Amino acid sequence: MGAEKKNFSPYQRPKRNNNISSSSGAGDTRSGAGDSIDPTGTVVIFVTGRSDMPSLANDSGLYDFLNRKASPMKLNITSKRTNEMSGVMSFVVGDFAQARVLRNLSGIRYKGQKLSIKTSVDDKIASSTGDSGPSQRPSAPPSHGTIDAMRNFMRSRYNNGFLNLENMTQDSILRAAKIIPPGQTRGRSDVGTVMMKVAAELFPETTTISFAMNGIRSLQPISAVSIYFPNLQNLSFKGNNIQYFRDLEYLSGKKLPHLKELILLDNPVRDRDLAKNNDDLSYRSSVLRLFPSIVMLDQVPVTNKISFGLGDILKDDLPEHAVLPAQIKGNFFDNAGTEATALEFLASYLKLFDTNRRSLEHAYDMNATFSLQTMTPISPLQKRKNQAADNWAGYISHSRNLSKIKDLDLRVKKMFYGSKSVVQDGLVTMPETKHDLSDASKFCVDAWQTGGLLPGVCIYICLHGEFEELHHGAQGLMKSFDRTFIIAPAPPGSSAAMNGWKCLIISDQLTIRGYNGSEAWQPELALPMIAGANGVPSAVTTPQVPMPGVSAEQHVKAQELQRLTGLNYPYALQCLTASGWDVAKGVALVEGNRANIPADAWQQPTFS
Amino acid sequence: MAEATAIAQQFTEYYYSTFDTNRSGLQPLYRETSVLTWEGAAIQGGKAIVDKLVSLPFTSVQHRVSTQDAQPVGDMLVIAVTGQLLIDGEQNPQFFTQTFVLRRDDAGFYVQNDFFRLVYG
Repeated sequence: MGAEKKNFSPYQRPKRNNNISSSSGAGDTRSGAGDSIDPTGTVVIFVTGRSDMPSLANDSGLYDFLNRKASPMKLNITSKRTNEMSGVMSFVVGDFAQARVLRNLSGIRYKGQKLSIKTSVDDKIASSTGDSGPSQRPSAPPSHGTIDAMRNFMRSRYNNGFLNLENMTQDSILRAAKIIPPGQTRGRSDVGTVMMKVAAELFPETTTISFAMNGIRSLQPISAVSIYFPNLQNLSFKGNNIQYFRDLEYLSGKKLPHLKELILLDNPVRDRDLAKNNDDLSYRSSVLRLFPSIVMLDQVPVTNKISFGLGDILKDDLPEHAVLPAQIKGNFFDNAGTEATALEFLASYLKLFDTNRRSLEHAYDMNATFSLQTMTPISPLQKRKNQAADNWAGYISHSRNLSKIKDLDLRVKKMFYGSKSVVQDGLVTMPETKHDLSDASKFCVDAWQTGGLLPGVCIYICLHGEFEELHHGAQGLMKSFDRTFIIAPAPPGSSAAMNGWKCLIISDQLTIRGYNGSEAWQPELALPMIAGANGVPSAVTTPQVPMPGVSAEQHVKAQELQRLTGLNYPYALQCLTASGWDVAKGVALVEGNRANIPADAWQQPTFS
Repeated sequence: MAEATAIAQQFTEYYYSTFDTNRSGLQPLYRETSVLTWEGAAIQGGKAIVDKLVSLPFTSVQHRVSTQDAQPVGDMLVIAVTGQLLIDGEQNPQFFTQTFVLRRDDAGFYVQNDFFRLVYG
């Protein structure tokens, strides 16, 4: 199958008394023993980047980087090793506290790669999560009375999937039991972990937690949320004291893969960024990078554009900061790494496709395949949108539509094979184009990373968009297109890598359609990540039984429309009344009038 | 490769005729690791995917394939389809584009990734 992600495996844990043996593969270093503190009191640390990116092996700058990030903690790094097979770096640090600081840096970015940091004492760290600051009291096991009080507290705070942990310092149950809530400097360092464990035992079905108004400065004290509630969907930190984006990293990335909604209103990290930039674009972009799965941020649907600098890739060919519009809503990426890689690749590729197509030969694998098909306009609407003299001559001779081309030899002939043929026989014979990369709304990208045909991973990218045909530089016709790329990491030393491409193209399929604009992905459907068949998030207040005057069938339709559009229950009913109780028409009505629908018509989180 | 294009065509014919007559009959085409990216939402696992398809808000649907192209890529077969959807007897079609990444296991070809987008007319 090979579909598993090639991320760090916790099984690459060394045997007790045995630092990483560079000669052995990951498999035979597996050990059941969780405790592998070296007899000398050292702790083994493993660092790995993404396996589809350039290896971190022998990158000595990484140690300086970690030292800086761990500051003021001083790291005592020894026994540096790299396993060339797995790409995992390992080293030994002096003590548990250093290991914990490093472990908490997991997820941090270095040279564009997200680092996964594991230690040989992860289980100990997990059970003692909390501020490691000197003001913390050492962790003795909590007493039974404490646990009972915590259970009572949780019971008093839970209702129908929603765990309300707001303003805990004022809670009478906790005060009576002398429990200091997480994030307070005087408290036990493990109180957050214990609380989450108790909560998960009582209410494993929790989908929503609010930590509003707790004076939390960092998510570290409550980072155990991701261990005990891995399916959490909604999370609020409204009104806390979170200062920096890095304080959010304890729950970022894939730690909460089903997180759909996040609230950070009234925190310095947000307020300061907004004041600095006069808008929230940069703030939202930063948060979305950290939490790629969310569809709602601060009670506003995720619609922002993000842009990214291409750094020094293709410096000679690209403007200083090539920007590929990634209009996040509507686009789907399985994780932030896929997103960054796919967008970076597309920005470089499309720019050169327009300006220097011949140079793209470097971007294709020597065995790459390319084929093209045309879907000429058929509908009246398409024809109307097209200019009268629509012209397909530049493509039609290459078109490999299997519904029409029955001759097997011809099918073979119309597929371009190998980088040279792809570019010289295929791409450069097509009309010149201009992709308007400055306008996010004209493109839509879905991308998914998976185990691939070759050792390593590849990314499937489905791009939908439009381009303008240029004829000898003059303005031409608009065309819509769909394009599926399969890209894989460019091997070091390959022509692609030497020409600045991080990825090379294995397969490229292009469908050119009559121009029909980008409305299809404009109305940003607030479709959440659906895990299983649970459609309506439980945080949305929808009556379980029909309201008076609403039939059971109408009730079901209203729920369906809510799920499809993000409308709340009363407006869903109103919309269905207007559309004759036809859900499909209701959806169309919503999508056609999205801009005019009042803000209070949309589903709101249940946070107060 | 000629064989691959024939498999691709057989697949799309089977897929869309099953979709149009009995959506739940599509489940054997997916595996637990399969992923459908449907209008920007990701759904994983054969059962969840078919539940999603069955729950789509129409009772009858007809797919008309306009164009399809397929490339064998390593052990995969990548199929790009464009076509029209006729929903609940409507005469005005909606246009769609769909990309399948097929893989093969002991039971035959299955859909590893499935990207669906309406592109409107």
